[in-house]
Amino acid sequence: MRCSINTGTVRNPFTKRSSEAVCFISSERWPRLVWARWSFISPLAPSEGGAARLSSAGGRGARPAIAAPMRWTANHAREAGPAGRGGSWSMPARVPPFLPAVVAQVFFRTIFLRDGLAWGTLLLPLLNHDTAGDGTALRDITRAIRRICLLQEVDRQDEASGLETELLAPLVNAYRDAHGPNALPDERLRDIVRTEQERVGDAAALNELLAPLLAEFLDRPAGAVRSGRTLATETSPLSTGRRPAATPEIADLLDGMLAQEKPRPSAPPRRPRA
Amino acid sequence: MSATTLEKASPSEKAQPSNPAVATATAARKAERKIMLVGFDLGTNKSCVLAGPAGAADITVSKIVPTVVGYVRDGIVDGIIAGNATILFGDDALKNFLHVNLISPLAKGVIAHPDAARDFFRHMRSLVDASGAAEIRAVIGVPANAEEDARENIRASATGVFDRVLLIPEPFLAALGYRDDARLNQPNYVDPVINSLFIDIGGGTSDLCLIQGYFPSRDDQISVSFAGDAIDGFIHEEIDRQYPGNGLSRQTVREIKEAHSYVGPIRKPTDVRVIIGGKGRTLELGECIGRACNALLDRIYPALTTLIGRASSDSVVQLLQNIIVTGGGSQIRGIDTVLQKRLDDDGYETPKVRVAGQDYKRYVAIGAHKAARAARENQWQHVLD
Repeated sequence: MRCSINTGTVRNPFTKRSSEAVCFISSERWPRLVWARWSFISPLAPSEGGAARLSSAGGRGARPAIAAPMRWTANHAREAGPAGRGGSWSMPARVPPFLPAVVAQVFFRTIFLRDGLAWGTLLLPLLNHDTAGDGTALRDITRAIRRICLLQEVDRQDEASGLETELLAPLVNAYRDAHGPNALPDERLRDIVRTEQERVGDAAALNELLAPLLAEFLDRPAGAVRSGRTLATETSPLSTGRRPAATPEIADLLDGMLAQEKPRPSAPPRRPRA
Repeated sequence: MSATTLEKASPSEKAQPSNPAVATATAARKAERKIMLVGFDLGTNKSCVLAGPAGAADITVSKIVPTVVGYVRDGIVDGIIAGNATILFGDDALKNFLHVNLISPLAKGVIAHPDAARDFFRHMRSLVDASGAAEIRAVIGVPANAEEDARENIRASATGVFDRVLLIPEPFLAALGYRDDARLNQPNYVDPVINSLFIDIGGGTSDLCLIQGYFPSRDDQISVSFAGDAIDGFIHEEIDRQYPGNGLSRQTVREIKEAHSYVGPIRKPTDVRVIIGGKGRTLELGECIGRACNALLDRIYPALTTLIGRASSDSVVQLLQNIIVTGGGSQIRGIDTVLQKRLDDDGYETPKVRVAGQDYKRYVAIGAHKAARAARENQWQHVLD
């Protein structure tokens, strides 16, 4: 199976790490499968023959930097480095879609982008970001909250409300019955909700950012290439075929306002004194 | 949203000295002058200003200032007023109300005291640009269908303070501010500028505006001169009638209103604790608050149905789903549900009324700032001496 891999960089919206790598993988079988890797290890060392530029964005408010993609080949294999420092890692010459070597070293977050699908699954890395802690029950609660936040993000309030009563409430009650009422106080639950809301918001922003870039990397007919904004609409999993009405430009609206305003009467010219 | 483009000052600018070298230097200095774009919600009771440099996306100034000027009284001992200032503004003026003559530059949304308004504009300018060297371009919100002389008064007060202005109706700016630019591409997101009806209930006026993808004409806007201040007056009269000699100030009445306002069926008892003559008293104010707020609704509702009637039949069903209440009046409890129920009871098709949310104080200023960033160079109006 042929597989092409391109890399770029984005800023991790979840960890806010300044140096990350994103692998865009396409294959015949999964033409639109994207593996995105976020990790806490330090930036990759530059390769020979041209390096992927790594984002030097850091600190609050820094914008994600998208470097020019570099096509990975066997020549760019690296030696595996220790997690946490060093930052070099190996890639087999022919990379299967699941990248088992990379999976063994780093933590993945996977985004599936296919036409007609909703968001799919956001599988969060376990080490740094699982605010709910260990335990299947707590993970289920966190997942339920995440689903609710996702539905709220896409304005499906009724379904979100339904999930709250039909899924989340029984999970929380079951957990408290099993571990005691103090095991999951309301404050902790609120913290989880807050965290998931932030993640979902960040994921929505990331989707808008990545979707047009992804379309460029994937195999598409030349005629299908359009502006980034339209691509975001087409490839977005939220697309249901309804296009919003044309958004009027503010400057054009102001032209309309100025056209309505009556011209102010000009002052009569002063007559010279006799 | 595109930033305002900067054009180099042309040689035809006024006051050109005869020496060409000096003229070039003057033009170059003007071209280098930093431009600050300001969104200014000039409210009767509270004003909001958002400002940021042209060409950048960030907002460097965001302030809400009570629209009040305090002129320090004669004979005040040195040191009583900080910095021995002679004029105070906003919260400083209110804090020192015992030592100043408080003037509200605006009444019912328009300038009533031009000198105080100019001083207030100068103060807002100093908040935006402490150095005084920047070119200030301000989009200023005006009540819907403001008369020409009201607009002229604003321009006159801005003369010598702001370099260029644009006056835009407030409910339209509220729609611009309420619009979530990040969601414009989402198919389920309804752009409020495309098809909505905004009800901006301020201190002086309640402005309603039909917004359907084009700049609203005079027929698309209605301004009702009954709003927060009128409710305060209504409640104050009722309290004076029920509790003569209470001595409560208008500010206290306003605070009572903001804490307990509601519309709909009368809620009794609503006990409010106040200090009268140094003693704590409990007044039952449920009925007078309810009647005052319902009076507002009785005046807004006919204007609302008038504007709905002016919408085209193709757009009105979606319009009814996008009725948004903003401004301080949006905080009246139940205003969305009661309005919606009234429309429903009158047979309107699935109406949906909602309040703008916690940021209601800033939507007009946010919209004004967006307009300032998007305005083209030739759309700005110079303020001539």
